Amino acid sequence: MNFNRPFSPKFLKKFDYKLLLAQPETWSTRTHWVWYYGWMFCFLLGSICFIYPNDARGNSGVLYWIFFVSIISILSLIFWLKYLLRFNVFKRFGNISGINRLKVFGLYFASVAMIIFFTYIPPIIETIKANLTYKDEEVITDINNFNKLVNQLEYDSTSHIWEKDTIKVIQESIGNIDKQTENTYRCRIVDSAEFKARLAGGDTIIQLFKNVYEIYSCPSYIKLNIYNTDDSKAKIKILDKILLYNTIIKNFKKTNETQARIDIDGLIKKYYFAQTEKYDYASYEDISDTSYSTRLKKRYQIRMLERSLKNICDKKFRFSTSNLDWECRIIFYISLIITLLLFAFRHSTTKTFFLSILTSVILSILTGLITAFFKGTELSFFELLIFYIIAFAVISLFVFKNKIRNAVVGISINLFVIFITFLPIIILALYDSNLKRQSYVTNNNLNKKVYESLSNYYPFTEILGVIILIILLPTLIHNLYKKWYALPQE
Amino acid sequence: MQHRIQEIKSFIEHEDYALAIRRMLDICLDINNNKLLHRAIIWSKNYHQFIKQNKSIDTTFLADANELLIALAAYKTSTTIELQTLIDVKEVSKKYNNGNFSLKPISLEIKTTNIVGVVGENGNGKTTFLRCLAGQLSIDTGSINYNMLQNQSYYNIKHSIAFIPQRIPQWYGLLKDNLHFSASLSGITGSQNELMVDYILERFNLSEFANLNWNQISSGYRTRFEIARILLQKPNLLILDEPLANLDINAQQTILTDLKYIAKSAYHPIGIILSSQQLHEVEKIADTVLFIKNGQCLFKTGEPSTNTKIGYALEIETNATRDDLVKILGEVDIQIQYNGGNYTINTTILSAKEIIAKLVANNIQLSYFRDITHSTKRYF
Repeated sequence: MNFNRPFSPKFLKKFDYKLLLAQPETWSTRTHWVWYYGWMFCFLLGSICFIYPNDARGNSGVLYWIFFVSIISILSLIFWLKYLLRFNVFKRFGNISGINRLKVFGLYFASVAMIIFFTYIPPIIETIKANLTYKDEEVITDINNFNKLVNQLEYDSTSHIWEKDTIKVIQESIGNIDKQTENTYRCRIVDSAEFKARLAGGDTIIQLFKNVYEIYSCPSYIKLNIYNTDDSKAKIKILDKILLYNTIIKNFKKTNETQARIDIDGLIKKYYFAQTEKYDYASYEDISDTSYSTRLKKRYQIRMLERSLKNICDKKFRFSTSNLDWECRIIFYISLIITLLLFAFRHSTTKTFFLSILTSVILSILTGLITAFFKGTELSFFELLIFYIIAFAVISLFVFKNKIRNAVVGISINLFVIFITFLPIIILALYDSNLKRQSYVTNNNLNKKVYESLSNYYPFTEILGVIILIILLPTLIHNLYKKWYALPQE
Repeated sequence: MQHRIQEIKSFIEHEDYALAIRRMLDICLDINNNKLLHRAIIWSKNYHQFIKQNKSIDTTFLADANELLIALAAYKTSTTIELQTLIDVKEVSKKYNNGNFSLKPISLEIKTTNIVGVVGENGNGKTTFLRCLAGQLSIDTGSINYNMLQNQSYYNIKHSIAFIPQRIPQWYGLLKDNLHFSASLSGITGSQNELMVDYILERFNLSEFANLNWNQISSGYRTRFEIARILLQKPNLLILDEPLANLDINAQQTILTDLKYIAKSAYHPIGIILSSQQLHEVEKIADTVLFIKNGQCLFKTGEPSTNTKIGYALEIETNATRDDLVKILGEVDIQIQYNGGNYTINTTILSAKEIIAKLVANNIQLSYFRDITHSTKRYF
């Protein structure tokens, strides 16, 4: 970079110069500068987000921040590319080994990931702030206390009768049973699949006869329903309706109503946030509704509390275990795809690269047309994808026979490099779809269990795809590109 | 070695310091002594400082030169170069898929230290031939044997052969960074990289431009920077397509002389092929000259050809008319052609010396003359 870099420390300048003299492939990626300025920007952005007043109970403004930072990320990416594209180690016929090629790929990935990471700073800071204000146990305790107190106060007004449903399970298809048969048996007739679903929804089950069951559902004692809490790491757990029934209703003892009311008011005050109430359109609809549940919600300001606590939990548990893998996947796959495109661009001619993009667009349209024309399913879609990847691999190998640089071979190499990472996941998706289809046709429960457990294998196929890429980059892909670019043009 | 030291002393005595510096740098590189090379670079930098500041050379500068020469004199290293055939081209021809042009079979052998000049008019196949040799274009018939390479893959060919096109692709970033980058990519790393970049900058007198970028230098300097960059990659064969096109007359002479020394460098001797329109300049340094017309090699130094011209040829520039010249030289076996600027006189009976003598005797004023009997200029 031939401008005076602002805020660049001496040690980094020295390091940059050393890289230029000894490791041109590393130097040309400018990853060290991207990471240095990237962390500086993250720190600055994080500080601004931290200082910016934002109550955890209020609606999150993080989407606006993400939009704003995304623009900065895109500009940073363009700025980085401007400098990256100056020096290309792959087109100089220098001493570049396969490992160097892998290293450059890794550095491209690291740089792209750093730039995309900017967009994660506002939500991370918001989560940190929410966690500093409200501890996990504190929120869970408050929700549980609120539900306990309301159930105590509303004991006399609430119905405590458990809903009962008698069902008979049959093996036949449900389509063959008519209402008359149901009346004969005085119960609902369900097949095994529905039975399974009913079991999951019910709270207690009693078997009356062979294949005849009574399923009981507990009344809803959860008055304050915050669905987005994550108590997996907390010592205290959220009380479900059964636990509330067992602790409060089953052996009900009247408590001091005045004290309970004071406690509830304390909780309402704690989580009351005026701005949340302003945007609560549901409360206007409640005006005309005079049902018990609506009156209850008004009496204890449940809607407002739900909204505040939902906002808090949204922020607190944004990066909880269940969400984290998806958050990681977003940054990983965006970085991977940009890196693959960049890698292909650096290795091929501009014309071949854009022809590769055009080819993939045309293939997508063709695939759609073929699938529609032959009434194909997702099976045929996955089969076509696998066929394409194999075809790209086979055509790429022609580079070892060619005497001149062929654009078709170049396009195949590019597309093979871009898609090979996704081959294992496509194969698993094909297998998965095939099992589901077989199970649907044959109604085979064994297959259902197998395909349910298949979902656990998807992360492994994602890792396997990356491993395949890591193995192929310094070996086959290195040789393919090296050979192809060196061939005479005509 | 003594002869080369004497040469430098002579340059210094005649205050031709620029030339002395270039030779000094060359010797220091040839003997492969980094300490001496480093001292020579500093010496060269001092000289360029004097020039930049418009100062006259002081005694310290001369003393440094003397010290360097004494150190060099102590060196007994032999600088004999082993001649090796770099490429052997046999009956190579090429026809483009689109277009009517075709290159007719050409054969050529290039050895280390050889300089081959490829001359001819525009659009006659010079660049096509050079690109075939560089592995940029495939050949239709014949063979090119890259004897310098054990593994003759295209990657190795392009690694060993440096091709500088007429239109040099733009460099990005600092010029010096580009030089460091090219050197390190060719395996010259660390302090050796710094030393070699400093050397090449001083050798081509480019140091003052090193911290500029491509758009801040003239096209002539771009050619020199490109040659400098390519030389850092230590190619075995250097192919230059019209390298003199963007250079002024002095720069042309400097580059051609430099190329001669570079080819014969003991540190890393190479073969050089260059195409040019500057026939006489190329003929001065080339061991072999190829003349290509309409894709066919009409002339090659040292090889008899059906097109070989016999007799004498002279090129003159004068105010006299063609009739005056015919009157003086006689009409028998004399051909006088006028190309709008010069007259070309072809004859089998008069030598160039005799023609000049006759013209001078008849008071014909000559502003320019050149004996082109042995020049490819006759084929134009």
